[in-house]
Amino acid sequence: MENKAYSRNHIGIAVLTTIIIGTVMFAGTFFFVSHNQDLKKEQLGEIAANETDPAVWGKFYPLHYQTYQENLNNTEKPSHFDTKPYMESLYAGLGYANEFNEPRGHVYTLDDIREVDPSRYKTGAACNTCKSSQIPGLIEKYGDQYYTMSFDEINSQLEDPIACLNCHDPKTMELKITQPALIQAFERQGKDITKATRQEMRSLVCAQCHVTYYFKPQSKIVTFPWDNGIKADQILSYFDDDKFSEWKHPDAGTGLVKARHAEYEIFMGSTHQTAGLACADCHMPYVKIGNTKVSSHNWTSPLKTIDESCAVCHREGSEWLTARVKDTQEKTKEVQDLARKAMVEAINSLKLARETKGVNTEILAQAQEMHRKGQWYLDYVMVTNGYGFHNPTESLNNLGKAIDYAHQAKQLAQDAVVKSIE
Amino acid sequence: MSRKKKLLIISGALSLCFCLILLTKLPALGLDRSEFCGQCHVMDEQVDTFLHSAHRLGANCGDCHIPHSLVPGAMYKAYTGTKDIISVLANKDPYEIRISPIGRNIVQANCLRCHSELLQAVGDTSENGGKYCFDCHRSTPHQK
Repeated sequence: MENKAYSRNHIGIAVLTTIIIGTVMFAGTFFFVSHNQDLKKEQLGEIAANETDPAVWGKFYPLHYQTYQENLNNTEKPSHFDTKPYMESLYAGLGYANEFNEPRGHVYTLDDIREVDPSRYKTGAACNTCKSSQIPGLIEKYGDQYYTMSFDEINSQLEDPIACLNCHDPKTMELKITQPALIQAFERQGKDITKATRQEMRSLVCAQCHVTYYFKPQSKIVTFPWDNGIKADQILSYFDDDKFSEWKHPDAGTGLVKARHAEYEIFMGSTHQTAGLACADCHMPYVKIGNTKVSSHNWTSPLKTIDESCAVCHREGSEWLTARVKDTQEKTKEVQDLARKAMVEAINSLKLARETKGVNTEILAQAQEMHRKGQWYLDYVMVTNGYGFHNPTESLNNLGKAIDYAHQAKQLAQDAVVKSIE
Repeated sequence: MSRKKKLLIISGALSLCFCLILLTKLPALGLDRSEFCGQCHVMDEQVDTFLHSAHRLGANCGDCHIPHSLVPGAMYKAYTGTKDIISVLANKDPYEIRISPIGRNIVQANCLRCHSELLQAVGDTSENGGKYCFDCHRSTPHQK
């Protein structure tokens, strides 16, 4: 480099340029840094790994606990028989025919199960499986023996209802699956539940309990019948393959299987689920408390939080939204009532056929097969909360099948009488 | 001209270009504002909806759509701006403007940047296969 090439002027320009660029860059950097806010992550104290008491967690997470306490306001537990009077004849032979109330939610699980008609305790300890945050620890302690213990042996040890530890890791607060039945159901399908994404977990923690299940004969292990898939026909085929019946209907003589609140199963594949939503998006909406938002832990119908649950995506206003939901629910209820009416008629025809001397047992068996299928599809919709809204098309599809099978059962039962051997 | 001198001129020009790109992030130039971004008519819908939203009071286009840091922000802005100009000139602009996968992450980070206090308990919902803020708040601010 030859110094001669640079005059004084050139050096002046270079210095000036450097100063300008320097100033601009310094000012720019200062502007960006001073306007930047990092997401605040509070490092809270540590909760013991086996802390089952929600009040202890509440000291660290007061806002979440505040919404959890709101569950206490849900004090009504109307009988299902008020709105579904056919249940008593459909469930004849089961404890459900004696008493079947709507539960009051997570914080009342222990109170509610202790008040239920004692005819429903006969399964034993396994009935407590979805009633307390202490259960995963007790299953770990007793192993598979837990399921065959008596109802009181386990229930007398329980103090905390469904609480934080059922779904959260106390160290990281990440969602966690603690229900052995769900982990095993995934394993049998060849899926690894630990690979689930955050959004899947926001449904899977609910699927620890809000699914259909049965108690394995003898071992009484709580089992999710998902080996063939999670849809109504796949679950029924699983029970058929296993030749499993939960009870025999005393009037119809049919070996039946009982569906339970299959909210997770029916929600999968629905419009909302395929659009990427999880249970928590509607049932645990983000609510503003003071200057922060928390995911509400008051689990109830999203119709009570329509502004937070629905209106964030659907801007049409709460009145219109409520009307759309009610429309789906009322129409589902109407078809459900048709299906129930047909099913009770089928049961009555079967009863009549069985009382007929020399009835054609072959056709009677066919009629009972139709009754088994029909009642399964009806029950699958009927005991799933939400009156079909979790998946309107699939609910109506199942009810359609239920009506058809009920009519076939009734017709076959009548044929069995006509073709009876005198 | 000696090799050294050539090298000096080229490297000087390159660093000047780089500094000029950084200048695009200067607030005073207004290259982040809707008045500038909306000069292409394909952006009319985005500008109109933005101007009717609450965000017009506290943010401009770049506050959400450009990374909030000087160097990556300026580089991204130069890249995306050039890409958009070429597609408009070549009449290749999309019929329906949709955010790109990179753009989604940038907007998400900017949501958290301003609303960090509100979201201190919730955290970043998009982590580990989660949903983005605007998956639910889909009409904010563009009325989709």
